[in-house]
Amino acid sequence: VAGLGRTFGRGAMTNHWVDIGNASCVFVIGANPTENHPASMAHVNRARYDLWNRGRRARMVVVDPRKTRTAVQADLYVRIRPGTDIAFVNGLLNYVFKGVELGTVNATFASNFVNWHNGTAANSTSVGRAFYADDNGLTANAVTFNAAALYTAGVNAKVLYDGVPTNAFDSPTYGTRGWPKWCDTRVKVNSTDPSAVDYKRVVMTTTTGKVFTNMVELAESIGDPDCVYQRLKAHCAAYTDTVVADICGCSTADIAAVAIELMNNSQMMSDDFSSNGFHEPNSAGYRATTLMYAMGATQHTYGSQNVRSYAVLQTMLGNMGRPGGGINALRGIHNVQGSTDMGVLYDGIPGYYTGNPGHSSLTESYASYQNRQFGQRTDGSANSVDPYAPATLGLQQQGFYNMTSAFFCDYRSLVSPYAAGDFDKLFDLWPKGNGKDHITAFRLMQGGTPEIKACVVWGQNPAVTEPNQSAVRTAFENLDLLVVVDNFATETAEVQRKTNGVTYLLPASSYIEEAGSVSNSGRWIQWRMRARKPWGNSKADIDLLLRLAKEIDRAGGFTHIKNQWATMAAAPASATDAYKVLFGDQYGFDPGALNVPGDIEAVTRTSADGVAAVGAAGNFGFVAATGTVYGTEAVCESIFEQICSPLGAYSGSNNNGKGTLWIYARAFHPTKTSERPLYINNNLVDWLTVNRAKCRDLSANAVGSWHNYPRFGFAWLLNRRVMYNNVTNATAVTIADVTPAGLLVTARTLKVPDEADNFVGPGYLARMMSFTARNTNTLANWTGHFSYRSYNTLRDMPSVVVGTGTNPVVTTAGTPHAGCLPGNIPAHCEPIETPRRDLAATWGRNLQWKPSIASVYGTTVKTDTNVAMWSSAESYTDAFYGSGGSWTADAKDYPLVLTSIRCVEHFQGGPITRNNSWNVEAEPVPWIEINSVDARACVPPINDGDWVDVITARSNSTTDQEGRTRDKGWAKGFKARVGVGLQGNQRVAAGTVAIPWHWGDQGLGTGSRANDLCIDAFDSNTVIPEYKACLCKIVKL
Amino acid sequence: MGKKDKDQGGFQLSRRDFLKVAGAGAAAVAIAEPLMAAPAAALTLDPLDTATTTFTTTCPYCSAQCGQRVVVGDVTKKVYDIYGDVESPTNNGGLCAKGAGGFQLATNARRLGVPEHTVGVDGKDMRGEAWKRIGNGSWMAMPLRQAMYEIASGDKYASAQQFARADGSVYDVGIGGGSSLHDGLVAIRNTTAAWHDTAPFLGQNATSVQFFGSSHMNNEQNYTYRKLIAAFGTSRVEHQARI
Repeated sequence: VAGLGRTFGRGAMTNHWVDIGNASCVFVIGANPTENHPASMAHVNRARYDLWNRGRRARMVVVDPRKTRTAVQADLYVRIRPGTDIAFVNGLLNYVFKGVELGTVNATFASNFVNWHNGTAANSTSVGRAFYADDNGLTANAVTFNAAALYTAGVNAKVLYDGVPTNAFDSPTYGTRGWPKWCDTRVKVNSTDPSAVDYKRVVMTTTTGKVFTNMVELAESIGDPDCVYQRLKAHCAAYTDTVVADICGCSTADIAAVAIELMNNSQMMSDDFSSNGFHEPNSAGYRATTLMYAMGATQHTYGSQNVRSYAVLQTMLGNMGRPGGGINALRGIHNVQGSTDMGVLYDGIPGYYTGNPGHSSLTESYASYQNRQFGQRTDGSANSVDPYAPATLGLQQQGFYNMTSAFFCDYRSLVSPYAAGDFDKLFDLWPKGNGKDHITAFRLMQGGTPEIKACVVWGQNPAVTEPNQSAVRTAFENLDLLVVVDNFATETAEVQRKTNGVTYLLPASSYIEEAGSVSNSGRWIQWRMRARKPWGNSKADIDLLLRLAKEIDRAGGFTHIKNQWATMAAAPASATDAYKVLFGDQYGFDPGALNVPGDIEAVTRTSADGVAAVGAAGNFGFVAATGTVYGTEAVCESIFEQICSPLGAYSGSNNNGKGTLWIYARAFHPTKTSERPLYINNNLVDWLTVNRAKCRDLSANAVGSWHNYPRFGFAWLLNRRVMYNNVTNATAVTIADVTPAGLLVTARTLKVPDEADNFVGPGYLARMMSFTARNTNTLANWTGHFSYRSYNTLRDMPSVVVGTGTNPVVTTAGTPHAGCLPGNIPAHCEPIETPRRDLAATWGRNLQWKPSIASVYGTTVKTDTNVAMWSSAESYTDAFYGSGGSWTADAKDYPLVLTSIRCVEHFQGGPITRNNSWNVEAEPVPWIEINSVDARACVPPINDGDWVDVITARSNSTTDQEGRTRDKGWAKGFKARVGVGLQGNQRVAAGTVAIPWHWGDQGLGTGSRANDLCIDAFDSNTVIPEYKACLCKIVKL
Repeated sequence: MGKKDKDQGGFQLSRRDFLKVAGAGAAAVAIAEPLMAAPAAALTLDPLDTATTTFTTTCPYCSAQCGQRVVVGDVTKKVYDIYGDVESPTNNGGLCAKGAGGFQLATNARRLGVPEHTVGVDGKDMRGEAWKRIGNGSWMAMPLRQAMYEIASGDKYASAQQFARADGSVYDVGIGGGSSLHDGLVAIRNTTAAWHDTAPFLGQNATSVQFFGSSHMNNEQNYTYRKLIAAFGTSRVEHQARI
């Protein structure tokens, strides 16, 4: 989320699974989809073997430390050392620069590259230009922006944003520039600051006195020495072939080979390049590279920078916003997109707002919080709107208003906005400030007087999945109260506890007994029908959640809410029954009194339709068009309705206008007639759906020649399937041509639903204008706010002084998520534990996680000797490097890089698959992959099939050092899989070993836990630990 | 990718079939075939079931979220089959070695609370509604209502409490007393130094209770979980997106 979100706006897969079939090149880096996302390989192979009969065959390029089951299928495989992605990508970018400026690759590439990066929005020159308002889901309003009406001190706005630049690489004239259509390479960087922390900003004031403080200044061409392109080029100059080959452990020829594949499969070489940006993936000459990454990228202390470097590469090559292109983050669990959308994170609430309300101040006002979402719009001044009039707010802001109502008051009776004073009281009920990340949270459970005394673990297995298990198990042991909800008695449920610690275990039902919607990696929201009632005494999650809510209310847990209601001018009905107001009335289930249990099966609801009659040939009849749903499916559909209803003016009789999650808005329609039409074969056709997650229209017309399947499920935002194409296909966007479902129809090219996907990326000019859609207030007051995203909002550089020349020196430390510090374009740094100390001395390591660790451990926890020995992140780093991160001569001898892996037969921490006998039989024990060179070098030598102990500074794999696991006998080490054949062809390179992390101490199949060994240093932007690289030694058992 | 498994053509996967699939997984995708072809096997219905119903759901494993179909007996509600949904554009009927084992996951006797989970399964009778253990003691079965009550309010009963079993019978408190007395979530929350039930400092982010959520739950459950945590007065929640 951090890497993509801060680069493009949304941390999500930009395209979708089926779209991979449109690619002409598949670039896999830091992922092993053959084993971990097997279904995606069918789409890859569809492109590679031309199963859509387009007359071209896609290439597949894999860059990975392991020769994975994906890599063995590749047209081109390059092995790099774990944790060196950024260096490799920056090396690739150097080839792009050479190709552009020296024409060394292809004259067409060079020419098209310049034209593309200097390109100007097609509608940039017309006064009163119209943009599609990307956050407006209700009415297709024109967003007018008349540059001529703007003026600035010193810089003529018309010059900056109006007109067409010359398409020369380096135009010396200071002419008209025009708004960049595609990306920010032409935006000027603040030249007064050599570390380049931001774009150069100009202040614009409209003739009516509204102020934009942070408009960016544009260069005429990418030849301007102050523009982003030139800064990027200068930054990458240090990454010569020789340097990159040394860092990555590959050959210089490898870098060139990958670069040429990518350039040949970029938009610059596509036969649709000159067709006015009209994408035509069905053409044999169409070129687009899709980039697939997963945990191999993110699980590093600089994981978000890894992802950002991919984003830079794909943007430079023009692959964003194109079918078959984009950056596709292969997420781990089936609904990790949805659970992240719902903000189940310490710094999140549903909908990707900037953390919890009031995180900057305990007394932040509602209006101030709203302004942080989208500029100064609700400050009550003359040019702003009324923050208490939700229908006039932007989509994101109104979603927050409705969510506050649903979370803390009587959402159901919301027929008109609250009085301002009453709404302020509801806003005050949001917990103030953010929580703590998972690494820190476990530390806060330790010690004599821990801050955290109770923990509820609902559907996760941290006693296997968290790195540095000793710290985690110390924490679990120390809790007064532990509650575990799961399908099975997991490692977390069976964790060792202190004598008087109490553990509860509740049985959740299986997935086929659950109902509701799930969001896949490509943002498709699909409905899960409930196949039967929960089996036996197991209960659906929603049933258990509502019962827990009822009991928390009974225990006085909502007293603070009821007290607040009592002070409202218009208190909710039933204000003495918090459960009823907050849950019972909203979702239709009351668990009842203590000795008279309610039965959720008694709840019924008329099933919402999924597919209308249109395209009946493609309607396969699996959707309940009419009828009744029962129990948890009824409750979940009520919740889905609350989440996904359209935003806008309230209707007293239904939930129109009352949606609470702006990114999911319009996935549900309380009334059929409110649905917007769809264009099929140039005809306007009503799509009479209610619950779009249930839609399964596979008729040819509804599939589209891009295979976007706009009527199969629903994709946030507004059913867009390919994000960030910046209205590529719009040559003359007029408002009448844009439907609110995101369908773009022009007189020239009526080609829907393929064009259902135009999405203006955040940072684009239209973004700034978008909130005007509901209001005559044309321009909001952006004083003090960034209307255009910052040049860099990620901490990209290690905190230690590094290098010379083009490597900037960054010494500022910060705390995680304190609002990321300005940084630079991603630069290579080494993992916290690295075998290449020479490189770490030159390039540094990312130690931004240390300040928070120090502040957490402080004096309270670290004084506990039992804790300090294993849980101090500093102490085990010091074991390698000495205190303060500097090298010491007596560093211990851990010669091998340990990287964690997954296999197709098991899943994550294994609580599910290790209880299935089929999966256990297929892969019964954990193994270690070793190069034959390393195996032979061990004393005694390791043979294939031997059992091996793996030892890191934190633990080993055969003993339970602290005695913190109840059941014994599971820690047998890892079974050796020694490579055969040529050294370079083996699964892992010499110097690297790989172990799967699926095993633990419970279930049908047990085995040594990889996470006893892995380091818990983490990426300060994401708090994702560095599972993919630490140091170890191995010993034959 | 062919449509080998039309909607009526379900199959019941045997262990032998499964192992074939698991072993051939990588090779199968390499030749652009469905991840798993449908082995033919007889579908044996329970005599009580005169008919079956097919439901659509999605696979519980990776984020490809492959479509699956679930065949359930109309009377016994037994699961007869779980197989790839040929109409899903994501997987066109294919499933990998994990997804193909969905049938065993749903029908697993090791699941908590299912009637099949007798002591013979893994040495523990886990057929109950909820369990509690003190220290490292054994699991003690208890009514769900009692467990919920104790989680929220603690087990320091001020007076006699009655809890209903699933069958409607009443269960008096009896287990976990004595030295095991503990506070519930609400009392533990209230130990947060900054916790106040009244304005102007009400509900300002309790720090003494940590929640972990799950990407295994559907959107509605995640949304409700996040809502419950906000209403409880804390931001202390994390889940698998970090790992």
